[in-house]
Amino acid sequence: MTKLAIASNIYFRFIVINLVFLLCTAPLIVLFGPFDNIKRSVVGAVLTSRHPQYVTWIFSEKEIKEIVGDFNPTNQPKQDLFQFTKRETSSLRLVNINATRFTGYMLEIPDPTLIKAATAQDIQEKGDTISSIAIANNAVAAVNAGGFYDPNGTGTGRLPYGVIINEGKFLIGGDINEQVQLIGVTKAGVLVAGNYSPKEMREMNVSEGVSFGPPLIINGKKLITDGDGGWGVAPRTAIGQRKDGTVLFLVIDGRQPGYSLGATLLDVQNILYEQGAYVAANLDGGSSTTLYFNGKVVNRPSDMLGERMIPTAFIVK
Amino acid sequence: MKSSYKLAIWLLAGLLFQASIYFYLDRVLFAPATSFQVSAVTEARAVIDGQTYYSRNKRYMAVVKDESVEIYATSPKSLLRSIPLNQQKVSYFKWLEDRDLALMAVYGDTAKDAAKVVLTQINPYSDGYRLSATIDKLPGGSKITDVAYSTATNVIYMQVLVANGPAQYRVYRTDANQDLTRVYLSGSRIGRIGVLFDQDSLIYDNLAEGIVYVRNGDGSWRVISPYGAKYNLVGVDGKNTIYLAKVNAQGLAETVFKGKLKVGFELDRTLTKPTDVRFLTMDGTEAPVKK
Repeated sequence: MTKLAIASNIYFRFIVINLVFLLCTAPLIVLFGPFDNIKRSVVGAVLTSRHPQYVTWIFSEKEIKEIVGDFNPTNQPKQDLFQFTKRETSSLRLVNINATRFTGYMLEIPDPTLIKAATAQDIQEKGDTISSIAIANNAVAAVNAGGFYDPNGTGTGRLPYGVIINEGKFLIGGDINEQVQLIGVTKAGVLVAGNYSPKEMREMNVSEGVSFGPPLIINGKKLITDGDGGWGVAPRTAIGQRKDGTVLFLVIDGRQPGYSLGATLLDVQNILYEQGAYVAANLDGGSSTTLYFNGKVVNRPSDMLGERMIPTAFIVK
Repeated sequence: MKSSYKLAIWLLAGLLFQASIYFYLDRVLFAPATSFQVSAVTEARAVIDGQTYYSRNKRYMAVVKDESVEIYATSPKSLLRSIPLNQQKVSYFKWLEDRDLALMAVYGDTAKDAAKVVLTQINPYSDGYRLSATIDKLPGGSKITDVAYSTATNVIYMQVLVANGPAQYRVYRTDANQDLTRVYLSGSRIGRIGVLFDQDSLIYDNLAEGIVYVRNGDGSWRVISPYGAKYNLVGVDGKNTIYLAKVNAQGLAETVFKGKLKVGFELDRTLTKPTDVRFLTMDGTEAPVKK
């Protein structure tokens, strides 16, 4: 055997033995080792999956809080409904967002009063794709918005929760007597994010809105200051607004190794903050994440069947 | 070199190797936040041989050849991309009915019990990473022969031929969470498969028994074909209407029934002559018999 062959053989055995050892010891090292970021991502991803019990069996509530960070979106400051002068330009601008572990897109909409909350045509029966919702409403752009009940990940998008507000009218949730999540736009075009009761929403003149969260930036201040937000790495959708009124739709693709793994909530917060957002909130993500612009879907939804059927979208028309 | 010294070198190198992997994962891949760049989006602005497939509205066309699959825009006709098959073969290709995406299944000639089949999403404008589901450790010569899916529930069931003479099949399931599992059925001689539009429910038939079943996502199942005769599945449409063919002793269809779960079945049409179920369609425009 030549020296080269012997060296290759040793190298191969070294790699194989180490990979086997790595696989065997990974659960212990990931969960109990010194690598906080890996631990936080894994625990956060499992907590937001269909099997959070795998984590709650191992760690106490206090330990989980220490691992994923103490991000409590209910303790947000009261939002300042600021005023702005609308920008002169009306053209929408699409930009790429690229990072080591993700690829995404951000759409800038200068006039926030063009944002509407739209729903699937037959929302009691099933959801619609973002493309269908956009086409049905003659919209130039659309992004997935509110949450819905999704048992076993096979929901048809027909069971939205919380509120849906369109042109100032509550399509669902108007009779709720407690605070629920809201991401909406007031009649004056200010983006609102946080927990509000329908009564408070009416007082704030919210004209378009859905339920999801958490808020990420309020009054120009980042809300995630410890940890990565606790939801791990995944496809994300978010909305933000600059102080000049410009609304930002952000989508980050994920679950596609080699192309884009996804982003943490902290990533999303940082992107929107650096892009000038004064208010920002997370929208429904995962396989729902879809951005439609100028007649086509610009990102790559993570489901093999393409766009998911969902109940609500924020559209631009 | 002393063996204890060699061992120490090995252990040290192994430790460094593993630490570097964890360090990369911790500091780069799973860092709480990562630096990003913002850039403007730039819009990327024949004679055909091989099997062709048209998308809805005929906006796109796929040509499946021996070595590659070519995707064309039809108006104006232009080659968008060519996907090399790398000595694999296509066993299934279908454009989705409501969107410009296709599903393609490929298989390779591999050794016994090491076959791998892949179901892949084809996006006319995306030439990078392709979403796919890979089923491996299959008997040699295995291939995906049918796919049932619902774009409402995002569930996909794949029928995999695992043996010939007589044909034996397995069914695998994947969903929006990218969970891939084998679905154990009441038999391995499976005809067509279908799925309900708004529920994670697989409809399939057991050809040996002539019985059609529904198998739900939670594992529960029941017989849905009427008793007293043999039935094969023709298909399930987008309104959850199930079409069954009543077959004679030779296994040929004579009548087609349609119905829904929890409602029952009624006669849809009587065929002019006994017909192989493989050539039946739900809308009654029976596919021509191949010679």
